[in-house]
Amino acid sequence: MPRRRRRQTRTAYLFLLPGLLLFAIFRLYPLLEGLRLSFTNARLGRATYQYIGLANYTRLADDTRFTVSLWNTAFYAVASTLPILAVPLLLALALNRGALRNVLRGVFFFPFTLSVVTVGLAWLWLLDPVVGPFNYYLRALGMPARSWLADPATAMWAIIATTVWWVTGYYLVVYLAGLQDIPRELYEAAALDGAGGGRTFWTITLPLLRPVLLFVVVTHVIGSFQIFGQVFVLTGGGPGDATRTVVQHLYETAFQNFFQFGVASAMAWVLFAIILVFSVLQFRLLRGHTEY
Amino acid sequence: MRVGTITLREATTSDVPTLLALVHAAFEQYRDRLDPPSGAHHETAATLQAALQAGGAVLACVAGEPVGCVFYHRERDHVYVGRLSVLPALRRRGVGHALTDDVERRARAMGVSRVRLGVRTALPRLRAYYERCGSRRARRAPRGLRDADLCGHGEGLAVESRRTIAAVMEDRMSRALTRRTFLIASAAAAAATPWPRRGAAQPKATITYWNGLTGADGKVMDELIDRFTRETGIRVEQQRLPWAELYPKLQVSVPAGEGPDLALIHTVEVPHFANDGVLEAIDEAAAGGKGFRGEEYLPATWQGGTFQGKRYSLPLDVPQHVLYLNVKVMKEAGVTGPDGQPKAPASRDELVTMAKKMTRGDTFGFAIGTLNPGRYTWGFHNLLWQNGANIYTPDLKRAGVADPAAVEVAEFWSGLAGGLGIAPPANANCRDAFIAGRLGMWIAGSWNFTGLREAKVDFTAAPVPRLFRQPVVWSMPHQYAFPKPKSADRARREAAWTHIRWMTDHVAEWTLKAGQVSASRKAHSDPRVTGDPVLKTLLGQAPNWQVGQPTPKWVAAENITRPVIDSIYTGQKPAKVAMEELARQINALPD
Repeated sequence: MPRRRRRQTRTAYLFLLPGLLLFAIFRLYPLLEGLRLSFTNARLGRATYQYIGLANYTRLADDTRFTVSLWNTAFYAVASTLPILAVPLLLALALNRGALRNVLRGVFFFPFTLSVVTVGLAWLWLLDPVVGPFNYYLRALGMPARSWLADPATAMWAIIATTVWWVTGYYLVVYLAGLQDIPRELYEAAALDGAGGGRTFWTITLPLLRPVLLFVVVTHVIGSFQIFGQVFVLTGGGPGDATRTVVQHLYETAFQNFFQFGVASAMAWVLFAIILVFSVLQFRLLRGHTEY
Repeated sequence: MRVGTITLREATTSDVPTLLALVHAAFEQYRDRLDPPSGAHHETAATLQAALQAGGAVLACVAGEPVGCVFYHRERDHVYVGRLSVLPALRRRGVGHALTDDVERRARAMGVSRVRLGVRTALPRLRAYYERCGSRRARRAPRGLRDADLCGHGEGLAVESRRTIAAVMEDRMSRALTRRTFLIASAAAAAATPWPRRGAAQPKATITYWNGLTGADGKVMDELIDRFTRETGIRVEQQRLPWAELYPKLQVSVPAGEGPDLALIHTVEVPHFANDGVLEAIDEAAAGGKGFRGEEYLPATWQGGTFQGKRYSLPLDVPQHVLYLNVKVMKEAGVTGPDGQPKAPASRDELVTMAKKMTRGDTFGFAIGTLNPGRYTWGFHNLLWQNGANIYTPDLKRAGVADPAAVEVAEFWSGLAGGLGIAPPANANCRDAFIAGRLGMWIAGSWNFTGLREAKVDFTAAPVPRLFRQPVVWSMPHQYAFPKPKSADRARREAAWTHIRWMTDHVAEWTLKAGQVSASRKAHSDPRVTGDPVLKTLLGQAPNWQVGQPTPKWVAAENITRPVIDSIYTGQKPAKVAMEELARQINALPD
C-alpha cells in the first residue's frame, strides 16, 4: 500500500474512532455480554452463576410458551404486512393530489406522533366490551357486541388494526415521497396511449414504487418481530397466551419471573438470529431491484 | 416572616391557665412520639404554678393574644430554660427567638453567663436547631457574656466554643431531670419554634425514598412529606415510578450500591428481595426501641414483613379487597333489602342469584378485578384463600393449585363470564363499567373508592362476601424497607427511621386522604376514620385479612398464574386441565 494511501486510511479511522468507540461500548459490548450470559444460569441480583453450556437454548425448545410466542409473533408479522402495505398506499394515492391534501396528510400523520401507550389505552377504551363506543354502535345497529380483545380469534386482529391506525401516517409519508419520484412523462405517455386508471396503476405506479414497497416490508417485518408495546397495553398477551409475543416473553422472563437473565439472553439471541436471517434475505432482494 | 409586634411580659399566677393551654398545644405533636413520653402532656395548673414559684415564665403576645411562653429557673451556675412553647400556627415568626432572647437578658441581669437546656436525642432536628441558633447568636454575642462553654456532658458533642446557648443532648440527663423538676429536658416545642430561617440554615439531612404511588395517593404522599420536612428539617427525595418498574430497578440498583435509603414495597415482594440480599434485616429489638411493636399491628400485616424468621420491613397501610355495591344498578334490578337499600349477598348462591337478576344486555351483575377481570390474580388468590387453598402447599414445597379446593375455585372462575354469564368479558374495564352504571356488585381494591367518590357514583361498600368456606379478605400491605446500602450511614438511616415514625404517627391522615387503612392499630380508633362508612367497612374486615405466602417464588408464580386464569376465564381451557398445567409450571420454577 502506498504511503499516502496508508496515511489517508489512518486519518479515516481516526475520524471514525469516536463513533466506533460508542458503538463498541453501547452496542457491541452489551450484545456480546448478552451472548455470554446466555450460556449461564445468571439471575439478576445473584452474585454468582455457573456456565451451563447450551442448556438455556435446549430449554427454550421445551418452553411451550416461548414456542407459542414465536408463532404469535410470526402470525402478526405475516398478517399485518398486507394491511401495512396497502392502507397507506391507498391513502397516498388519494392524497397525492387534491384540494385538502396537506391538511389530510397532517391528520393521517397525527397518530404516529403519539406514544404506543397512548395509542394502546385509547384503543383499549374504544374496544371495551361494556363501555366502549365500537360496541355501543354495533349494539345500536342491532349487531351483537363482542369482546374483541378477549376472544383468541379476534384479539391479534384487533392489535393489527390498532397498529395499522398508528403507523399508517409514517408509511404514508414514505409512499408520497415515492410517488413524487415517478416521472410525470410516463403518466402522460400512458394517457396518450389510452391507458385507464387501473392499467396506469398496475403498469406504472406499482412497478416504479417497488423500492419503496420493499423498504416498507423490510422495516415493518423487522419491527414486527419486536412488537411489544401494543400487546402489552391492549391484552397483556391474553386471552391466555393468545397474543403473547417473543419480546414480551423475554421481558417477563428477565424482569418479572425471577430475573432470569441467562434464559432471557438466550431468547434474545434466538430472536436476533431470526431477524438477522430476514434482514439478509430482504437486503438481497432490495439490492436486486433498486435501479429503474 | 414576622407578623405584628411580639410583646413579652413576665407571667403571673393569673396566667397559669393560659400557660397550660400554650404548653399543651405546642407539645401535642410529640404525643406518642417520644419514649419515654414528654412530661409536657402531664403538666397541670398545679405543676405550672409550682414552676412559676421556682423560677419564672415569659409570655409572648401578638396583638394582645398569647402565642407562646417559656419557663426558666436559676440553677447554681446557670439559668435553665424549658417548655419553650409556641402555638403551631404561629411558628417560624420569631416568637421562640424573642422568648429565648428574653431569658438570656434575664440571665445576664442575674449575673449568670450560661443558659442551659436539654434536648432529646430522639429529636435530631431540634438539637440541630439549637446548635444553629447558638452559633448564629455567637456572632453578635452581647458584651458582658463571656465565651460560654458547653456545660454538662460535653464529650463527643460537636459544638463550637462561642455560644450562649448550650445544648445538652444526653438523653440520660433528660431523664434524670424528668422527675426532678418540671423543667424536664425535653424542651421539645422549640424544635417547632424556629427562628426566622437564615440562608445558612441547612436542612438536617436528606434521604432518598422510592415508591410506586403513581396514582392520586402520590399527591397525598407529597403533601405529607412536605409537612414532614417542615416539621423535622429532613428532606425527602422521592423517586416515583410504576411498581412494575420499581422492583426491577431495586433489584439492579441496590447490589450496585445505588439504592435508596428507604423504599415502599408490597408485602409479597419482601421474601424475594430478602432472599436476594436486596433488603437489610431489621433488628426487632431496635424496631421495638423506636416504638414499632407487633402488638400495635394487625397480625397479618406484621408477619408480612418477615422472611424466614427475620424482619425486613414495617407495614404502613393495608390495600385490600372490598365489595362495592352500585346503588342505581341494584335498585333498578330490585335486589335491595327491606330498607330499599342494596344488600350484600351472604353466600355464593345468593350472589349468583342476585347477579343474574342484574345481568341483562350490557349490564353485568358481578365482577372481581379492575382492568382485565380474566387476568386478575389478586381476585383469584382471594377466592383460593376463601376455599382454604393457596398457590403453594403450606410447607411451601410444591404447588397447591391442582388440589381439589383450588380446582373448585377455578371452576367458579370459568363460569363467571362463561356458564353463569354474570360477569363482563375478559378485557372489560370493570372500573369504568361500575362508574357507567353497568356493573352491580364489584369486588375490587380499596384504592378505588376515592376515585369512585370523585366520579360521584352512588355506591356503598360492604365486606367481601364469603363465597367459599372462609370469609377471607385479600390484602397486600405496603411495607417500609431499608435497601442495603453500600456503606452504612447512620445519620441517613436515623432520618429514614424518623420518617417511618412520623408517617406511622400521621397514618390517620394518610388513611383519610389516600383511602388506605393503617396496618397499625393506633389510627383505627381515630373518630375521623371510623366516621367514614367505607373506611369503617375496611377496618371491620381486619380479622379476615390474609397476605401472600412467604416464599421468594410468590411473585414469579403469580406472573405464571395470570395467563392461565385468563384462559380459564375466557373458556380457552377447562379449569382442571389448566390448573394441573399451572401446577407443573410452578413446580418447575428455579430455586
